[in-house]
Amino acid sequence: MNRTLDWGRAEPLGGLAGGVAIVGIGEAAHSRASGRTPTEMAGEAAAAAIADAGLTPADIDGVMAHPAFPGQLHADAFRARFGSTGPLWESPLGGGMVWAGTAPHAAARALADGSARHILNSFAVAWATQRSSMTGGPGQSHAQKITKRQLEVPFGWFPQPVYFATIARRHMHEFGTTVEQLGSVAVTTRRHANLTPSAVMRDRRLDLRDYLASPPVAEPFRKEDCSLISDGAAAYVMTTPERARDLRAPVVEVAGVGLGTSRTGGHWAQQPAFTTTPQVFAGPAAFAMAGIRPVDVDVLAVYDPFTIVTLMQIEDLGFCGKGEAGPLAGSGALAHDAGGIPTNTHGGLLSHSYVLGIAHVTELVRQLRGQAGAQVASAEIAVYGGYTGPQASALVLRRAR
Amino acid sequence: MTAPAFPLPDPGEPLTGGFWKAAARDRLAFPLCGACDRFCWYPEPRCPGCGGSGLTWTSVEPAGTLFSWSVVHHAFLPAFADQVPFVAAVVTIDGAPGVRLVTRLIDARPSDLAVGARVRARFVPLRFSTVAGEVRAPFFRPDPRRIP
Repeated sequence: MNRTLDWGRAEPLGGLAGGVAIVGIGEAAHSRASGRTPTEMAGEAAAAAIADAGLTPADIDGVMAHPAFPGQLHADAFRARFGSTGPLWESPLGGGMVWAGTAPHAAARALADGSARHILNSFAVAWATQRSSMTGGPGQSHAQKITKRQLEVPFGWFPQPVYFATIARRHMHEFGTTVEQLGSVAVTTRRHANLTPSAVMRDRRLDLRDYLASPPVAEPFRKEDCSLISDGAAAYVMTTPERARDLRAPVVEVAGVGLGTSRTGGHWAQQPAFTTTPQVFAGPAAFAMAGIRPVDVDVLAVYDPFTIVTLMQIEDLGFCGKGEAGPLAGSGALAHDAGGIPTNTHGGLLSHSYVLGIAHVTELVRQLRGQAGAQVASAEIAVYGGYTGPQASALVLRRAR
Repeated sequence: MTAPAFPLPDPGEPLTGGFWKAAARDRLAFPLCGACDRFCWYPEPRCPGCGGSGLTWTSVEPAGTLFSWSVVHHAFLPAFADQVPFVAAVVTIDGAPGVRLVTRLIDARPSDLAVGARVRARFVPLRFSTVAGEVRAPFFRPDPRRIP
């Protein structure tokens, strides 16, 4: 158990310049295989976010998207979709995963130096469609990485569910975490999805008995420990806090951003801190920037490809001691109405959608506006924990008074 | 000779092939840095510790400790459809500090597995019904030399 934190670091991001606020949110329908393209869905989410902000596509002069994923709404795709002809600031530091949390940091710089006035970050995936047509999926890039292809895949240690099942087993050994506690994460998260109109699993109930009765996929995981594979997109619009006050939505300001990196890269088997995420670096940095402590947080959304990652991020963000998130989840404290640490109130990757965390951010904005399905009473401070494996990000959002 | 097809490993692959070439001789080997005497795993062109390029595949006693595992029931790749359930495992190796080896655990009932269990390699031909050929591979099993 690595008590020393010599295996990674917090990236020196610097501050938020003149500040940044999220003023519009939008999502394309989240679904099973739909035949839609990522570009189509990203455009749909963008249109919804721009309208939500009370803006028009012509007001958007900055776009952020991630280059590693196909079909994202880069500048050319944005122009093609909306017929805009003006200059567009473009940044590759956007998208989902950790970037859903760090995009506002890059946006703040661009807003401060006059590069853009209204910046859109979006992310879309069509992995359900790709998987059903056998043209790809989340494991594909892993199978192509030479060290994994040569040293992990031949033994069947592949893909992500097997990595994280092995991490979960180790967490159970180190801390006494139980299958029932993992199940409680799945059950609470599903209950939140049942209350959220846009969730893929909105109409599918799950209780602990169902969970325990379902067959194993990769022990200790059952299907419900694993994220959905879905098609969908989400987007959000950012501007300065000053301009935000002139727009129609309640102002949600970015109060802090942190980014943590493990020096051991993208091989889960080789992470020295096997049951810890780089959130131990990102979280404290974001909280310090925001001037808050975990106890001040009203609602949390963590990147949750597997139930164990929810538990690890809750621990690593400092909401409890290391190894204590299992009992915490088992006590029901993650529920939106339990007065504990409401977590993934839209249903997360497990039960809402697999848009890699960007819908976690749009959900937090809904929470701070008081518009969520599983609404947390008078939520003022929200935190997103993003994760890719070798990196984690933390984003602190605050409802302006 | 053409390289074995996915998901078999390719012993001719420059970075990682030394592992499989050693396994073909029933040896368990990892790259050892001649400059700083550390095992470099996974293989990299240069030692991440000191930047040295003098990495030599070095055989060690094929014994170690079970670090963690998963009993895999779902065939995530078609090649594994007739092999599930199987135990995918991560083991630490006594003679190679810092190395975590991904492997397959055999000859053990899943209910008997425990973190910390002593394990020893058994070299077996790795085969898949979906592709031609085989590659000799170090699977691990509970160490028969240690009777509780």
